[in-house]
Amino acid sequence: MKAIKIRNLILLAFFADIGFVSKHLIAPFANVLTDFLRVPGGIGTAFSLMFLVVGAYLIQRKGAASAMSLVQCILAMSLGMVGAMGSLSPFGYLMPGIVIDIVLAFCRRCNVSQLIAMTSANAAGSLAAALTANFIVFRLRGAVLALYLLIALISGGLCGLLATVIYKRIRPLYRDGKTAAEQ
Amino acid sequence: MNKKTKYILAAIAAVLVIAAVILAVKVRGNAPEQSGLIIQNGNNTVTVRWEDLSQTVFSGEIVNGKGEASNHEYQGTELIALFNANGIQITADTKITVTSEDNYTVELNGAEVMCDNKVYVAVTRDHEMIEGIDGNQGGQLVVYGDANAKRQVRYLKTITVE
Repeated sequence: MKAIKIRNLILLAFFADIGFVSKHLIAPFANVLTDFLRVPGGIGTAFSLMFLVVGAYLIQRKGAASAMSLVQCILAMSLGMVGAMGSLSPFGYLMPGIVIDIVLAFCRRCNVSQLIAMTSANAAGSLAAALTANFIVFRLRGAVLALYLLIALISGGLCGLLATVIYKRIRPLYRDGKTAAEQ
Repeated sequence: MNKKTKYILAAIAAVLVIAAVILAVKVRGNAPEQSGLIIQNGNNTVTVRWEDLSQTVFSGEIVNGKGEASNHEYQGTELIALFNANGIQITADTKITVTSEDNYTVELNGAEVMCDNKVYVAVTRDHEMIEGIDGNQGGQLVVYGDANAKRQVRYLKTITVE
């Protein structure tokens, strides 16, 4: 197995941290919409997963998103910010990361375009997070569950589009250890 | 990405958004307005209507942060009676968190709530309706015996029993 560079690890930690913090920053704004729709969330998580998708797509390593979600999980547990999931919060953090890794690996294998890969990875990760939260905490059913999942899917897709924009801005700065000439 | 793929993706996105709007209208139409005091006890949530809380008339001295005492006549119910009526068992160690509509939070313990004539939920004060944050009927937590009025929570919304 090829060793991962320290710089990549730092980048992964950075994206994990920024994703973790952004979720708490955007929550009050996202709650305005989710409270209106009477669903328990879905938008803030999609936004925070966007950074995991950017990091995983940039580093291009298997398990990158899972590693970032593990870091987020450890951060949340150590800071006591586990929310309503309590001791089951590791599942809530790890599931989206694993799903993002699977979707990105599948897209890489199928040579899917960057836009579709990042959008579908973000949407799938957001959907996985919503399903996990529903299974552990909310136990919603029927129309409310369908709306919750749709909100998660749509906001995941939109944040995935935003992730492609961020990725395009960051990509020129990231040279993966190669010189400009090698690139 | 060719034009056809773009159209397909746009169509999928449009279908999802339309479905979300339809579901949102349906969910908002079905959801009952929760007007009243919400009591959360573990996984059980009970909403008690404000009009069901005016069982007792009580009064006593409340001291504010400046040390000024005031005396008002309230109508409401003792918190322990409210718990008993809803089948909520508490002990001296039970933690009770009271949250207002503007997210102001105070804590009580089971021993205080079990103490006679100490903790009440009031719906009228001096024969006037206690307003909620929206100007309609609301409630207030009244705790006698405190050195200041910090736990006289207005715009009462939720009582969580842990």
